[in-house]
Amino acid sequence: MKGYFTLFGKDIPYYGVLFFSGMVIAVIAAYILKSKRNIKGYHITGSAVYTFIGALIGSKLLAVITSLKYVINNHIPLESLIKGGFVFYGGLIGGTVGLLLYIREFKQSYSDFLSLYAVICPLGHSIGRIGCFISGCCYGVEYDGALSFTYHEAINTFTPLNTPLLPIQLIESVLLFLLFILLLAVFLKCKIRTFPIYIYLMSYATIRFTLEFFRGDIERGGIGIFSTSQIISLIIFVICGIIICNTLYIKKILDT
Amino acid sequence: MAVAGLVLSIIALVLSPWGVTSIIALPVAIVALVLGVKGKNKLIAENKPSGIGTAAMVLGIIAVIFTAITFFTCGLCVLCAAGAGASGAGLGSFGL
Repeated sequence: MKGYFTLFGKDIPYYGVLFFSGMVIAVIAAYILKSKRNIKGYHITGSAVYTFIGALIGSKLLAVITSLKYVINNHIPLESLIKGGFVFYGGLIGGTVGLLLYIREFKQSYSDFLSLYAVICPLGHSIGRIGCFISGCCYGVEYDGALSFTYHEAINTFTPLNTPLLPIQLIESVLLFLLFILLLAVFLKCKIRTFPIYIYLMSYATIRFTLEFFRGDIERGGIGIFSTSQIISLIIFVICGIIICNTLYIKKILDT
Repeated sequence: MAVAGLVLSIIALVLSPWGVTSIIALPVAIVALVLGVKGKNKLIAENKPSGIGTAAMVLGIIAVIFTAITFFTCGLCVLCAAGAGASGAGLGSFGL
């Protein structure tokens, strides 16, 4: 198996196929769950479009910003920067902006849409990470233990070849899928409708912050000892923590 | 608005398979999608048939997927398949 397959004479990377497969499966999950939040079907499609566009722009922008210095210093062609490189957090921020624009334009409920998307996001992300594994990007540190993976060829130019690596992409994929299961249970059972949003953000921030220590792709950029994603994870975790504490404090005041 | 979205989505679909024009197809498809969504929602709100809006969205989605799958790759790379196919050894192997 290679990182791509050939269709009508054109080489199609598995990364793109899995990226969109993840999105489609996430949208199907949204359709299945929409009745729990009284959302109409055409709003799922419309909001998915806006979210996707925002995610595409956001993830590409953050990739360009974080990789630009590395690209210039290493004389990498501009075409590579345009064609490659997406950062999930850029997609999360951009996608959220797109979703909020849709909600505002069509006067829908913020909590209903955001909580639904908080549940389906890790499901799609989990599938997309498999695409990262197959293309050889977002690779892990050198590791010569059980289940290490050695690339003999990769689409990504920077993937170390013939070197056993930690399959960090697959580890994150499994953790994301488990997070989806947890969020689904919270979505279906919890009476506080916004809970899935904060659980998703804080859980993923924790997962991402931890896994970043085991990533080997230094070209992804960072500040000081932390990668860009770790810094964003910290910010998200702190903001969510403040919001939760504030909400619980106000609730306590109102109950007394 | 839905009609404009449909026209743009057809243009995007025509441009998307060709290497040079696919980069133009992507923003055209994105605009087509937004117009399709707005047009469809507007028609539904006015209790009118929304088939044109749906068609604009479907074609726009196909154009975006077509363009994005073939154009973008994860990570920094030059041209994806040409060098990767040289060894013939396959993707890689797990250590046990």
